[in-house]
Amino acid sequence: MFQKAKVSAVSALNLPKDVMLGEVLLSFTGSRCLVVENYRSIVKYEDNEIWLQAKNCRVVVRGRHLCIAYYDKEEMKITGAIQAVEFE
Amino acid sequence: MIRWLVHMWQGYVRVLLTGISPERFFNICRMQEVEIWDIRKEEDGYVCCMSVQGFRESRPLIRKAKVRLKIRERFGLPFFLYRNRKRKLSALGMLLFAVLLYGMTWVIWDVTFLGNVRYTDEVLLDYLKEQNITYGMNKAKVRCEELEEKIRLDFPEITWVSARVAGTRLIVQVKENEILEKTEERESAAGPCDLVAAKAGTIVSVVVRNGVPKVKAGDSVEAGQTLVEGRVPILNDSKEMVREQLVASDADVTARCITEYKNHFSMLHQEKSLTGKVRKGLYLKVFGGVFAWILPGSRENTWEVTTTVYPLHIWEDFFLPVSVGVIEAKEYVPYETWYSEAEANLRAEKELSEFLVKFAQKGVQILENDVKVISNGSECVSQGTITTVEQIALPAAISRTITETEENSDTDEYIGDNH
Repeated sequence: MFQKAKVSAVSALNLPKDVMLGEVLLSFTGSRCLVVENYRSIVKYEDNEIWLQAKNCRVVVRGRHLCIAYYDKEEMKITGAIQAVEFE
Repeated sequence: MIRWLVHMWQGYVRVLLTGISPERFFNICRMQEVEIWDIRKEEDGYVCCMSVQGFRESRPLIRKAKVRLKIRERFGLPFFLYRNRKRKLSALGMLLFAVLLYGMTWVIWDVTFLGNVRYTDEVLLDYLKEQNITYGMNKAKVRCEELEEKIRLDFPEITWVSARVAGTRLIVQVKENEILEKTEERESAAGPCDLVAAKAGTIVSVVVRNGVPKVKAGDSVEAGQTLVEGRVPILNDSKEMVREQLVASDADVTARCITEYKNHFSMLHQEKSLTGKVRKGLYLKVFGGVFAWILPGSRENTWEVTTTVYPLHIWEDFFLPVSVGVIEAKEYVPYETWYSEAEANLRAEKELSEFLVKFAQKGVQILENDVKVISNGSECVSQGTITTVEQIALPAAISRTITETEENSDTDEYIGDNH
């Protein structure tokens, strides 16, 4: 209930959702590089898929030869041949 | 790049990570701010890079996550030094290299001139040599302010100088006087003088600073005609001339002039035909000594030799006392050929435009250009007139008779007083 009101307020006030709601932020550079911000943890890491836990959902990055170039508390950079991104 | 340098400076290891839950290990490291990068999944586990400090700090985390780390490779300065700890001569060599490099930063290895057109780099370099500023000198001994002052004094045509030492390079930036002839003439006429017309024309404007104007706008003048007189009459209260004072006339007199232009060149000219034979060589300049090697070639034939020199520098301003280069000699056969009409016209127009550019650089305004190019069988002639607006005042020393007049008048006045 409270979450719904918060989402409505943030939408109405046109505030950034990644800051106010902690939504995950994905930035692509072509299909070879992806920067994920606001993630919580790494759930699963395989050569062809990476599962990340965000605040409100799970992000699944699928592809080939996926590599975590770097990661820290704030963001993670994934390189490789990215084929799809799914939210669960 | 900076991150890579930091990693190399501090040292890092590439490890193989095996175990039940490597993801948990990555998450714990993330929470504990242990840096891990370049993670890849391989058949036998995960390969990732960790800093040396991070690797040490991760020991309790390894136990917690129940994983195993195995070092595959070591990188960076600490490992390099450890591996080469017994190579004392090598270390000494590197130390000497560092000292030599540092020592060379105290010395001037390159002199760059900017903005010079009238004076070539060679002339200015010779001048610097006379001032004991040469390649290889200690840069602390270069007094830039003193040098700027000397250049300004010794080269009156240079109106502004900036000298600075950047790295191992001395940069001298100059600005030359664009209306040089005018300055020279005025300086040479330090004594009393008239201003006469340098060429015939119609006066456009007269601005007199000193002297008596003899012409006005719209007058036609001939070459040598007095424009401004340097003999200024001194009048008494009754408007009678008491005596004449001689002054150095100073004025800007512009006139509309017609300049004759004639240029001709032979339609027969020499061309080079490259035979395709090329000789290559190397050029090396070390501490002022030049060494050049080139493959031997036939002395009977003519060769066009070009040398491209590259001064070695580490950064933009850190020049080294070494220059390398490539020498290329191309064999050619000279032969005589005739210009086609189009080619002759092109050359004539190019020469005319160069002439006009030189004119414009002197501050001459070009109004009309009536030059025609005519090419007959053996010669190409460009002939015509160019209408310009330019300064025509030229100083001319006041003739002896006038000086005598002044002297006589002074004497008369003196005698008159006695009476």
